[in-house]
Amino acid sequence: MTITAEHSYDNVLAKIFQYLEEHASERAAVDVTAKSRLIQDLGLDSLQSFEMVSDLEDSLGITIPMDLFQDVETLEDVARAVVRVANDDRGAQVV
Amino acid sequence: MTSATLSAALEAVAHRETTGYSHLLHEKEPPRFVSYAQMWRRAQRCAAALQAMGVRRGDRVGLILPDSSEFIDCIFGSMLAGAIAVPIYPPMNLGQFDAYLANTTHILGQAGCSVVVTDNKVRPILGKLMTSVPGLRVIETYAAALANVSETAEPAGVVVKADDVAFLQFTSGSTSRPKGVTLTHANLMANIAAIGGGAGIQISRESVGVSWLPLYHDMGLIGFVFTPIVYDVKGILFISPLMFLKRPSVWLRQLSEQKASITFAPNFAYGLCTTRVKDSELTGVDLSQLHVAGCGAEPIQYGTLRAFADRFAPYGFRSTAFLPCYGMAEHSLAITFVELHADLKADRVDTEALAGRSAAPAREGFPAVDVVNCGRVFPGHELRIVDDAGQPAGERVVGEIELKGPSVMQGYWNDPERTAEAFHDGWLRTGDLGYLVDGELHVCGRSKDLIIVHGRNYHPQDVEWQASQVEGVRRGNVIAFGLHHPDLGREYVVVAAEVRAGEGAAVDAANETTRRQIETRALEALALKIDEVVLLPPGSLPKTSSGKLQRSKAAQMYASGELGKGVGPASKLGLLKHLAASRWSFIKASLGGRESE
Repeated sequence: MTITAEHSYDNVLAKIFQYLEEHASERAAVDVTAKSRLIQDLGLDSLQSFEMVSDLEDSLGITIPMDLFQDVETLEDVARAVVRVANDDRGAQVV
Repeated sequence: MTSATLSAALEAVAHRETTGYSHLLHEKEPPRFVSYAQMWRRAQRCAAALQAMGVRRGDRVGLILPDSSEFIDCIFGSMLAGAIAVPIYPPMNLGQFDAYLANTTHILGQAGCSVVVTDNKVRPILGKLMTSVPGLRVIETYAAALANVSETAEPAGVVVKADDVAFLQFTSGSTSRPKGVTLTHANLMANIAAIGGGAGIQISRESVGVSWLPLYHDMGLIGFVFTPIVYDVKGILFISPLMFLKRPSVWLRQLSEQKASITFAPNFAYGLCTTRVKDSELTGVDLSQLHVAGCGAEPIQYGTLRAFADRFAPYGFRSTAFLPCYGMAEHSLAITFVELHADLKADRVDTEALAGRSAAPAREGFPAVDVVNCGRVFPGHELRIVDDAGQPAGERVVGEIELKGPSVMQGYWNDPERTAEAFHDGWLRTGDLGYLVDGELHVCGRSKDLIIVHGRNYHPQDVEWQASQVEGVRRGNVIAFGLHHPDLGREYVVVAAEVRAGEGAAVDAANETTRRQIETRALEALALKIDEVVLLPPGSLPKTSSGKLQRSKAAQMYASGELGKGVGPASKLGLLKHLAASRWSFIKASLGGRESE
């Protein structure tokens, strides 16, 4: 099986951007990119980071194991973790 | 309960094969069960492994173990080896390692740990500690330590006595000056006896608990690891704190699935459930068997608990399950509980009178606040309220809460100076403000300037120091404080900093950068989110005649709109009105004379 369009890296990243636009308006002045760090650049605290993750889970119908989040620093990292889990769930090989 | 030590209590349940702890590691998998019998054997093996590493009676052992079952094995293993465990919180995020290591270095050094037990993931991060902590001999992983001894190994020649130190509870929040609360087995057993006894929550062998609390914090460790074995309860389920933060509904679902009778959490957790949990996540959830929903560890907001009760009543939650309590690490864990099954009670007092330190009942047509009733002091323990002169205060007079009795700590480890400061005529000074009505405690503030957000304490000095490091800030001219915010359900954290004066676009841009950097430093170094940074011209912050910063004065000025007029961001009038009407700002303002260093 291959990665579906819904769970492609670009698609997930787009969902994250959309989420931030809706929920983190206080930092509207900051240019949000894939390299943006959750804490340093976006000013999210731990509760807000977790809320973003659980909303992503809901919209993609997946569950992201907690240990994947030990290494997450940027939005890019979040998107990669999501894609990895989404494809694991489908039994596909991770590229 | 008849055991005199936790080690003896553990041995007393060593034959229980069908009851014990469960650990929920993944949302989609069933919890992993560890019976008391299995845990006893693992703790014994762990004790033998520590002895094999050269750990002797009274030695301090640092525990940095994210896995809850490994952590439990090691803390009991340390006790069985006669050693003193020092739980340390594991690193949460890659971005914050420097601050994490600095804090861990301080704790290990202050405790004088010779050995640290950790896991494979954390170990690489801790490498530097070997050189930065004098006296630290070994950093070993749990797996490697156990591999050194056989599966049936037992510790040799240890007799644990009631007066032995059981473990050190380091107070959170302060990066520069961690304090190790020293608790003996006798302290813990006295507190546990009160918590579960007839005047407490009446724990029985049928009790089932669910907790997502971190095990390196007193409420999770003493409440849900130590207390259950003493009462030989049926079962305890641990959820990882991170899993709870990600998906609060996991807590409610597990309460239902485990048919749990007991849970505890700080105020914010109940608020988080009310705002974050969706009905679609609660299909089939039934909370009707829950009869103790304890609430402590941070100021309790009547409105937050009421909102939770209303929101989850359709799922069987009863507001009589709420059990507001008051506690602190220096008193082992808990101090007062309300009566079991009593409905949530708040004392409606006159806001203006409260500012004058008198908790007079509310008057018709005047502003009033609800102060949650936290119940009575435990049997065999004493609680009093004292005024500024240190004299016992009367009924409905607001003063500092002081404590005496068998649950009070021995002191701060290796810190006679701050131990002496913590006591007053043989009474433990709590730093919290409250008043009594018919012997029932109402907590309404802190005389220490601690900022408490999401159950965690932050020392304003730490926040101020971080902000002072930012370029453009006038060093030493920063004040940090928290004000209760009714809409947020937590404290609103403000940093007021003086910067060089000036006008124009370039200065505005520089100030914006400064503001961002202060927020970022607080998040990175302290994991604290600042709600507002107020930048001020030189000389704006209130100081005493001797030049000391006045935090409560600054908070009062902020609340009344006097601080940062025209310098801060766009006026937040609505918020300021809220703050001015909140009891926290009034009480703090009324205590302007009392400043810490």
